[in-house]
Amino acid sequence: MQEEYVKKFNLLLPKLRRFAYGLSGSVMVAEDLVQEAFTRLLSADGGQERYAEQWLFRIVRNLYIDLIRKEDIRDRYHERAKEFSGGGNDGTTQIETLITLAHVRDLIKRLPDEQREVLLLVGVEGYSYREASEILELPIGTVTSRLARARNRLLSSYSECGSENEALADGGVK
Amino acid sequence: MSLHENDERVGKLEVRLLCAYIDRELDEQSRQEVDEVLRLDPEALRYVIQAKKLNALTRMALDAGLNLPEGRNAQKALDDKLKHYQEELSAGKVRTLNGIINHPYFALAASIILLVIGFQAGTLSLDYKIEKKMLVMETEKRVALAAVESERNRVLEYLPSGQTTIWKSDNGYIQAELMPIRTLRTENNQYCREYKEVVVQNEKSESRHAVSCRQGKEVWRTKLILLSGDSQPM
Repeated sequence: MQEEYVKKFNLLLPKLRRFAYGLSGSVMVAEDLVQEAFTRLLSADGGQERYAEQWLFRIVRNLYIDLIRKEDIRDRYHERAKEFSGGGNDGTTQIETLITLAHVRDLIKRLPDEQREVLLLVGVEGYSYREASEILELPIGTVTSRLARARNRLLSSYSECGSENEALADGGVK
Repeated sequence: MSLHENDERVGKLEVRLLCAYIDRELDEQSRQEVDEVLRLDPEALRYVIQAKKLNALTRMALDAGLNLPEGRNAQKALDDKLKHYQEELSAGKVRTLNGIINHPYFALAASIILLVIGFQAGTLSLDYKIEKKMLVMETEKRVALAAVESERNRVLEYLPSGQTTIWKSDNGYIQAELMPIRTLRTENNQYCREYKEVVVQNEKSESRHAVSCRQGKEVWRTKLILLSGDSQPM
């Protein structure tokens, strides 16, 4: 049982941190969310261990929603989003004007919360629609429609600067 | 590709069906039917390719974002807390078996087991113990990843294109295989290098094909991830 938990949490922690960071846009907030989720798991009566993975994702997501409501963190979050996007593209080189990782983060942050959380779970972490619906406590139909809207919006933004990126992705930098 | 939020089709296929195809939610027969359509529908095919690419890019962007300046500040805070914890350990305030506590997952698993049987050990609160054990775990991982970055900087600075080097951390926690592919020069004479790497950590390997640009001696910054995912041979 011990080895089972070791392996499970070994795989789970990076995914949870990435999910929390994707939701919040802040490393510090992500650390807090994940730590609090683990604390709650270990403080629980024991019934959650069997379903720990989905339970932890749900707690991280619910804690983030609580943060937004209680502390109005959204404004600070968008401030950080501006800092990120500004810092990632100073326009000094040709390569720096192409799609960068900072730009992708910026695109993700511009998605509405309800679309972003679905895209993070399914597109990034690889959960099935059913698993995502259980984590988010939503009908599968809602998950699929939000995912489709998220992808459409993301791809529209991405394609605006896609031609330059395509050139590099195809090995066009000489 | 022209897309709007309310569009329901790309080319001949519904967006929801394309998403289900991308996310491997279709059964084999449906998947083959979509494959057939995609062969004749470049717009839908482009959607699929771009969506898969964005999945990988998003994952890498989030991982990279965890190491941005804010992340480094977080690491300093973690390091400070860890140092405080280690001082308490050495002062005998926390009892533990030598070596076990240094392995974070054993510590975490031990906490779970202790909780299940209702055992409350030590003078520290539960929150405090969990926090410290997670700090040990996080710090070990970050130190290893920082070591990989340092090695990558040296490889990009000195290793000729086409040559491969294999590096392993002192504690064996992480191993990296690195190969510069070619050197580029931008319009303002900044040097960049295309490279491939495979990083193995805890028996899980991830590969990356990327472009990094020189910021100073042995200081390189990855500007673009071309491809990433599960490990592939170089």
